[in-house]
Amino acid sequence: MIQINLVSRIDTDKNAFLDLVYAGYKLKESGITGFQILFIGAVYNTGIYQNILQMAKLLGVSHHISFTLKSIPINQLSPEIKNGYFVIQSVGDFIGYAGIESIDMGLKTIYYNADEHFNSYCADQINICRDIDGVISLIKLIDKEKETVDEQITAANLEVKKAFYLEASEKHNLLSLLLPGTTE
Amino acid sequence: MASSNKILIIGNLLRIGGAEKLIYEIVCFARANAIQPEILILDNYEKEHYDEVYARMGVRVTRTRLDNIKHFRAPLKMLRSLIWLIKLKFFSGSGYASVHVIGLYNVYRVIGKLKHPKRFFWNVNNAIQFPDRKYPYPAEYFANTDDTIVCINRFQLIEMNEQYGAVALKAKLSLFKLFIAE
Repeated sequence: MIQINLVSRIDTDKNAFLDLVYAGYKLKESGITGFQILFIGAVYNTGIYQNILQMAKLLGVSHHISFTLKSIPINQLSPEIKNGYFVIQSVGDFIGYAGIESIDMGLKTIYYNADEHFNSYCADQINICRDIDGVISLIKLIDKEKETVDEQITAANLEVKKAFYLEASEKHNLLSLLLPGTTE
Repeated sequence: MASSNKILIIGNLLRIGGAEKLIYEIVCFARANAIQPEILILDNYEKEHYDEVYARMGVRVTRTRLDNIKHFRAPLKMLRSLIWLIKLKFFSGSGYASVHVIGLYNVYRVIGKLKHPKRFFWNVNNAIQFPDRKYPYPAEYFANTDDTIVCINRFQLIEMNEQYGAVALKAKLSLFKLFIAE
C-alpha cells in the first residue's frame, strides 16, 4: 500500500487537493490500485471539501481518498501514515520552511512545483517534481521499486535541508543586511 | 547611530508558519552575532506560539497598532501606540541599525510611519499565491532608493521585474535564501 499524505487545512487559499484527486485517477487508470490518499487537516471551507468529494466520485477514486477532518500534529499520526509520502507544493525548486519541518520529522517528503512558468527549473532531483504529472510518475516508480526510490528520496531530502545552512560568505551577507554599513 | 547593535523586526503574526519561522531564524542568527533583535507585532493582540519562545529567550516582543490610536479605550495601550508611532516616525534611526518588515503584506501597516534610513522589506510570497499571478502591492512600496526588498528565492526576482519593471523598482532588490541559523 502506497500512502500519500497532504497536510493542509481545507480552505480556499490551498489548491493541491484536486491535483491529488487527479493523481489518484491517473494511477488507477494505469492499473495501480494499492494506494491511499489522506488529507490531514480541518475543514475550514465546506464548499472546497464538497468539491473534493464530488471530483473523487466522478473520477471513481472515492475509496482511495480519506480525510482526517481535523488538524492532527504529525507526531500523533499512526506509523503507517508517517511512513507514507508527504506531498508539499514548491515554486520551481524553491522549498519553504514547511518542507524543512517535514524533513526534520523524518518524513519522506515529495515536492511538486505549483507554478507552470517555472517547470524548467525542476529537472534533476528525484524529490522535486516539475508538476503533478511528475508526482504521478514518481509514485509509479515507487510502485515498482519502493526500496530504492525511498532511499533516493530520503537522501535528496537531506540535501534539501543542507542547503538551508549558511556558509561563511552567506553569514557575512546576512550580517550586512542586519548591520548595514558596518560589515563592508 | 551606526554603532547601535539593535535591530527591529516588524510582523503581524507569531503563529506556527513560514514567515514566523523566518523571524525566529533572524532572531537566532542575530543573537549568535551579538546583535540585539526586538520584535514589533502590529494589529494583533493574540498570544501566539512564538510569544512563549521569545519570552524564554528574553527577546522583547511588543504588540501594538499604529492606526486609529484615538479609538483605544485602554489608556496604557493608547500610550504604547503613541510612543511607538513617535519612535518609528522620528527616532527609530537613532535606535536601530536596521528595520526589517517581514512580508510585503505588512508594508501598508508602516509605510509613511516608519522613517528609517535602512529599511528592509522581505518578500515571503510568490506570485502564484495570488489571483492571476499578480502581487497585490502598489509600486509605491518600491519607490524609495534607500530601501531594500529582500527576496527569498530567484523566482520572486523574475516575478517582480516582470510585474513592476525596472523603472518602478527603485528600491534595491536583494536575494537572500531561507536559512537555518543552527
